[in-house]
Amino acid sequence: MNTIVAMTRRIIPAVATRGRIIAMLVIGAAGIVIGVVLRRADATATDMTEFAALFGLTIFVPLVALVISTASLGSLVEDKTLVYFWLRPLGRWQISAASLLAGFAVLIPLILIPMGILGFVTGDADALQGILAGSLVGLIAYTSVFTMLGLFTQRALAWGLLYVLLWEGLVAGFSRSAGWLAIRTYTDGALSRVSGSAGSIVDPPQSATILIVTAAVAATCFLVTTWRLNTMTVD
Amino acid sequence: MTNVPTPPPIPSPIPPPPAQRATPTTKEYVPQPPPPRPSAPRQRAENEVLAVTNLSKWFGDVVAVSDISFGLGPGVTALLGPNGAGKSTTLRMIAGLEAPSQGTVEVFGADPRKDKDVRGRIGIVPQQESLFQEQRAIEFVALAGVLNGLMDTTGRAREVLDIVELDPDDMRPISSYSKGMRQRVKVAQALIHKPELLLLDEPLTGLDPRQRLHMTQLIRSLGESGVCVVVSSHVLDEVERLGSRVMVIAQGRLAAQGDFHEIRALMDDRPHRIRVRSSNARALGGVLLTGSGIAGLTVVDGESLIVDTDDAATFRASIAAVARAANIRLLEVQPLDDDLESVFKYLVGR
Repeated sequence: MNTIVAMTRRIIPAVATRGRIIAMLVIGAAGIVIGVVLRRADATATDMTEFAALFGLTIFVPLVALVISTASLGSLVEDKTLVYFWLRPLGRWQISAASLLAGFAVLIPLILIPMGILGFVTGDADALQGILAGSLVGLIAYTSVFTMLGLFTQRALAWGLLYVLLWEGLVAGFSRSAGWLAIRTYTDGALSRVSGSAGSIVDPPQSATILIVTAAVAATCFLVTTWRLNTMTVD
Repeated sequence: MTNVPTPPPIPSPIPPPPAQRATPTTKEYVPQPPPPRPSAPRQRAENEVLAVTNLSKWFGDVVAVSDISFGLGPGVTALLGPNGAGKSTTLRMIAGLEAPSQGTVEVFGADPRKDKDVRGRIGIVPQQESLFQEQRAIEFVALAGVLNGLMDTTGRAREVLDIVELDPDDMRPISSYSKGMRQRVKVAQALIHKPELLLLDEPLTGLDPRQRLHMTQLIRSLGESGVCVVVSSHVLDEVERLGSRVMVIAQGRLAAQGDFHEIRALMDDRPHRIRVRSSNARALGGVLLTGSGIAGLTVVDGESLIVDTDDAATFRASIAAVARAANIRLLEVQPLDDDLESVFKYLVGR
């Protein structure tokens, strides 16, 4: 455990660079400002929840998770410092765990605080809880996927952006079957189930399904990341 | 400790295997793995730390390492070869950073890519300069200690930073360090867990002469204390100062191995090619041919001639007197193949 914590503490500064944090805070603040403007324009709680789903769960959460998580292991590969973890007498899973923990440590405040404020702006306690639940599902799933992606390609940011915009944003929205393979379905589902509002999707998945899929995505990505660390060439 | 393994009969230039470094000439070229070596299996020494057997690595159609086999015990061994010879790739495969395309690496009888306990017995100074830039040296080295499961990591980090002559209390981040200081930080992190196998990829790079001397002494003392130290270098003089066993790697193959002095003699005894410029090349050539030790001679133009000699030292010592006796003005004597590349090519081609 000591080694995982030590690696996590080392990865966090590499991930949470000033530029990244400022950029993400600006995007989060922009969403909150728009939310406040909508609220002042007499938008209903339902309208506000839909905005939170559209801006927060479809754009903000995946984007922030993408920028931060791809750097967890990606930055170590890119600046060739992974060797200083990789050559130690550690299980590869410990490196995977440290990179995920670093991602979570940075993303929990970076995602949940702006999303919580956005939920608060809706003026509806159920909506606030739903938005936080959806954000948490997105945080876990996107962080796992993008941490893994950062280990596979040095263009993880570009591939991740394509995935978020094309698959999650477009394809999953048009096709119901494709929607089941999009994380967005489960973040929106969590929002709908917890808040009790319709949200942006018709017939959201059951709460148990959301929990199982989120856990399965996280576990699979963790195993694939560990496998990749075992078999890769380290510069 | 002085239980340095007895080196095999030396020097032993390795005959080139049929597969030379891949130089594709057509688009249809498909790289072939080196053929299996028909020779008997290499005998293992009792205190062998590292066993490399028929090791090969190819990247696409370029063969970086071709069918190398050797075993090492405690003591310093230098991998000597020109840039691009395959030294770093060999070291990386020994450390487990790179999977071999063919052959095996065993460290203490286990595969370092798979056995994490074995990785805890290896220290490596990689060639790349990258370090965790915003950390202080003591933090970086102590982290290596934590990851190696040490208890008093800060105390041990101070100790090894002292050994490499860096100030443990230096508050500056590593990013502000000179190349030589970074190099020493890398050495410190490799030493923190007292490795039994130490892999150093060009460890003297960036060090000033005094630091080089210190590092050389450190490497020698580690070897004498029973650590198996493998150092890669392309500088012959560096290797000489390490007083080590030498393995010459050229074009991905083990060209020769043995004690440094015998390898050096092997290099010096080869035919040498020397360009001689004088006021009368033809006349000087005629005089030289009447003497001994000249294997060949070509008159290039009125001033220049190229001499092939088996005894370069004698030739260099006598050429001035020969020219003076013939009333010929000597303008320049220039060895054409005294660089290491030529030496390595010669060893490979033997």
